[in-house]
Amino acid sequence: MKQSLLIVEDDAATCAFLADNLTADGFNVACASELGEGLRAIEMRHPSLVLLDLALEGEAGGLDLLDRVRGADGIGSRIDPDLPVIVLTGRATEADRVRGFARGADDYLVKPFHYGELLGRVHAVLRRAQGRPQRGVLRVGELTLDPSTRAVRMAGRPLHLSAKEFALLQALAEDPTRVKTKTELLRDVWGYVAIGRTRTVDAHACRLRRKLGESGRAWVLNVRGVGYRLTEAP
Amino acid sequence: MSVALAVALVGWAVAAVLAVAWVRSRRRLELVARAAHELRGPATVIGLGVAALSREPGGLRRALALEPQLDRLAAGLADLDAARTGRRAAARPAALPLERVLRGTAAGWGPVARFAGRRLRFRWDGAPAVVSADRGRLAQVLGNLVSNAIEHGSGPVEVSGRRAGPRALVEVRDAGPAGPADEARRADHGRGLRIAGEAVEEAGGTLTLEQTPEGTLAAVELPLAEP
Repeated sequence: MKQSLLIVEDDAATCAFLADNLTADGFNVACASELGEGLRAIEMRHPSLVLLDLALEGEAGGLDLLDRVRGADGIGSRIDPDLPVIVLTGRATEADRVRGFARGADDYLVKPFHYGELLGRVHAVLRRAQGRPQRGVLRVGELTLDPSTRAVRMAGRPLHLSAKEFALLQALAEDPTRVKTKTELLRDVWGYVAIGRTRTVDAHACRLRRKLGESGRAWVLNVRGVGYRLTEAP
Repeated sequence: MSVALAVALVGWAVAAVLAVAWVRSRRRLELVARAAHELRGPATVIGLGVAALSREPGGLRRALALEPQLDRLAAGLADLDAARTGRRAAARPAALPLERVLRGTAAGWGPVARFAGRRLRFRWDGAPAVVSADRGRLAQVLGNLVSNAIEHGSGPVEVSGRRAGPRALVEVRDAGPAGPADEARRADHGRGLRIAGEAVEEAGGTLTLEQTPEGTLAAVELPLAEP
């Protein structure tokens, strides 16, 4: 599946040429030119990574956008506060770079840059971000889960889950390939520690698997004697 | 007029001159910063355009020829920024395939040589060499040496590279006459050679310019990158 990038950049020519190159290299690319548009695109498109210019249209700059992303609570908000961000800017001094990293940039590249270097850094940051626990809107393949609206979609089609099914799915989707033990799931989803054997987790997992199963991919995988994980590694 | 009054007036005059100089200096720095900012945007777009060009049929060779020029531009912009604090930009060494950079430099200067009625030949001998150098600084070194040979030399310009033990060697030869012409080369392009010399030294290498019976030879030795 193609990874999606968002370019937040006020210069249309830079945005267009950057998008052309990144699209040719296999990414889905969207552009935004100012803070509000950038935040909306992050909320709606859930990009895998943002390329952020610091000088944007309007009064607010790229660092303000970075503050808003890093300040998101990741529960009520649709924005993942750990969203990978690479700053692309003409501000080249050491103080500028330090400020960028201090405000939460994952990487910092000064214009004009070598496209090959940018591409290498994009892959490196995405590689580091792979497998991290996600917050905000969760995406695993075609499955999208929005904790703020409690909406779940499979390939754009809404799914109707009970409160506990949703909570179980959220717990698994935060780290989709890690096996979570039944004890962990009972503690995180039901809020108690079971004494003795219980079929509660298994029963909910079975129902959840049935509801997700229509997509053709295997979901909610049982690891016998241990617990569950949402899916196989891609 | 009392002595005290005269001293006070002189003091005020000196303070006023210094204040005007300070304001002018600040203004100059601001203008340099604005110019650098205005250059960064177009330079970024051109670089991305060259990357796009390299994907088109037959575009890779042209893109390769433009890359060193863009690298020189980026290095110049970094220096312009750093000059505001009275320094050169710090080098950012990376492992660079020397043959590719050298081939790009030769391809970029080939049309210039042809326009001047000269030929530019490129040759790489033996195993590939990866050097540890700042991309922009290396482009400055090679660009200055080749342009110097085209503008001030004569006969064909020969650019060659090879591995030589733990180092890589680049040679730029032309059939330019020794003596006064060499002096002119040194004088007219003193700045370019100085930039090239500083960049080579920064990368831990050496730059020599010598007259040979056949003409002029500029030789650069660079350390290989750690494997």
